Amino acid sequence: MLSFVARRLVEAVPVLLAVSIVTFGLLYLVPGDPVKTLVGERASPETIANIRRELGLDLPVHERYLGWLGKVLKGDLGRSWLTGRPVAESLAARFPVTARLALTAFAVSVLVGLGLGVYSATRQNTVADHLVRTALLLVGAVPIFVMATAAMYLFGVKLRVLPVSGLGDGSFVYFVLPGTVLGLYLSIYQARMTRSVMLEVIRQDYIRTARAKGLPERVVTWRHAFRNALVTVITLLGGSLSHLLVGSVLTETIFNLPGIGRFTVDAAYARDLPAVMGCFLFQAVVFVVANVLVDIGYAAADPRVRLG
Amino acid sequence: MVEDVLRVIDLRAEFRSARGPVKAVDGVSFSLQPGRTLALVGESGSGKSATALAIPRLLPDPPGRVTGGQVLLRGRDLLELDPDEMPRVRGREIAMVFQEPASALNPVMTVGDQVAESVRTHRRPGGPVRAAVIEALARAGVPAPEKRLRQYPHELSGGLKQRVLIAIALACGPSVLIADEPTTALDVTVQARILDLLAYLGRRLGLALLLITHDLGVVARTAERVAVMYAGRVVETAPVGRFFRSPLHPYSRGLLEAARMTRDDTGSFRVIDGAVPDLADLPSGCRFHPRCAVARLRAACAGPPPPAREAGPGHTVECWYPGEAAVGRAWAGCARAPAGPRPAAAEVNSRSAGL
Repeated sequence: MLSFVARRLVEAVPVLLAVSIVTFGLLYLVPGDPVKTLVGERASPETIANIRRELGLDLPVHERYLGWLGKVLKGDLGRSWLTGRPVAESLAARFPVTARLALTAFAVSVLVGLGLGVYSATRQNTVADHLVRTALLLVGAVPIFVMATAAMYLFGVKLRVLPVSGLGDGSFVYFVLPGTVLGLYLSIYQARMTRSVMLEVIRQDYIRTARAKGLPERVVTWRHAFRNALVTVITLLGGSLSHLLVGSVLTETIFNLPGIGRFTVDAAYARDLPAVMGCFLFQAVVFVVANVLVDIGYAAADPRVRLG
Repeated sequence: MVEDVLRVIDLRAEFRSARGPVKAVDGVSFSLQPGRTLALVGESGSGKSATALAIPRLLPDPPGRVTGGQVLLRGRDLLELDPDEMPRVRGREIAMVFQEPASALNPVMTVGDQVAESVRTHRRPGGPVRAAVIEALARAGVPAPEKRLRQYPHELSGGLKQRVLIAIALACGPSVLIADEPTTALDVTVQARILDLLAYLGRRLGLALLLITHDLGVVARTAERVAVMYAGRVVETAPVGRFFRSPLHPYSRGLLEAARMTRDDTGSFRVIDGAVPDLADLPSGCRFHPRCAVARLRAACAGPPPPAREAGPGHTVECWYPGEAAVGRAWAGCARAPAGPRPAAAEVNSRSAGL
């Protein structure tokens, strides 16, 4: 198991290197001149040339890349062209917000999604099953900002039990509403997938063996069927979590949470090159790490994976 | 006379299908005695497995459903029990071993855990579970059982998996064991060893064993009694010796001839012409008559279904003309009949030719 983890980690290095090249290269190809955006259209050519030199934009590509990579490895993502603050610092300030939102939403989605999926599957084609599936379909059909606004109105304005929006003192209550709304939407896919995987697993011979042993249905469902379904569902969970950790622009915007998602979008609009690159790179690292964790989760859930 | 542990009386089960109910089990009766083995024989689709699953109420519902009859375990009708009470019967009193050992073990649990589950579920708490697990594995002939505890099913061979399943089944000392084609998926050499193990354990532990198979070689090797199933009914029941010496039902005789790989006067292997009837649309009268050589020229076979007749000690048969020879050259004719691309031979394992 330990060598499996080590191997996955080593394999992640070339992936990250490739990601850094793509990130760097993509931005090199982006149309529009960041310097002109920065200084305005009317600046004199000398000013523009000076700023270019200052920012190191006049050097050849490979030198720029290596210089950038060297700094990145030391944790220096450069300074924002817009605010002049170190990008790494901004990311470090915003990541906890995104992480807390992500973990709340993830917990909600797993509880609701996997729970409803198993519930639905064990009652296939009954009224309860149809009700659950219809309800999920309805929720999915409502845009998230409508649902979010409705939830803010109900719990924040009418009932006054939860803060409407904003980060406040950063405590957990500020994440309950956004986390639940976001989690609910994610749970739709998780419930669907869990249901279909469970239905497949329930028909397997080993489930019949488990019943023939005399295990109560509850144990058959959770210990035997669910654990096998989890092997497949983990893929989706890993994907959900890494998407969440990269930042959820809509939710962060609606609930006015200063997270990574909004930071990325703001940086992209402002053509704040170092900030955009920092965001992309950070998100790529989060993605790769999340995938390594999923692989490890796989191995924990399914002993057959550990061989491969 | 030994007392019956399990009596199945007029059991009926069907599967719902788009074409109406499929009567997989249609009035099956038999009984099991401790230390004795009853072999339930028949082609694929004859209702053997449905019978096996209906007894511990494991028929997948939907689409399956038990529609009538009684399953008396020491006089108590299992079909009348509350569904919540069945887990206490399964494993503890009636255990099962299935056909595909490769898929019958949970791939993500260790062998030890899977056997321990069985031990724990039916035991008073506090006992040394580990010791019981090792003992169960050892009894099923698993070599080095202590080392197997932490292994996963994919690390074991097919025969070893089947031994683990036998260990799981027998861990709680059931009185009835239902083995549904336990050796079909195994290598021939392994088959014999698993069968000998089942027969040995059956005798030693006083198990009433219901052995479901399509292989007459298996029947001869392990069973004391045999029941032949055709299209949802038991058409002949007999002690094994009598059955092989003088089978009375034309279907039983056909099975035996196919198993012996008898050649007719043209040199072709004798097979039973045609295929198992559609269980949603059964022929009138005797279910076998459209395929039966004896019935060729006899109107009675298409009339009312034949009742079960006593044909000797412990020997019953459902046929209007038991033991009669085919009319004219019908047998030879039926073997040669070019019905379809390939004559649908009775699914009898040709390996059992040494009968």
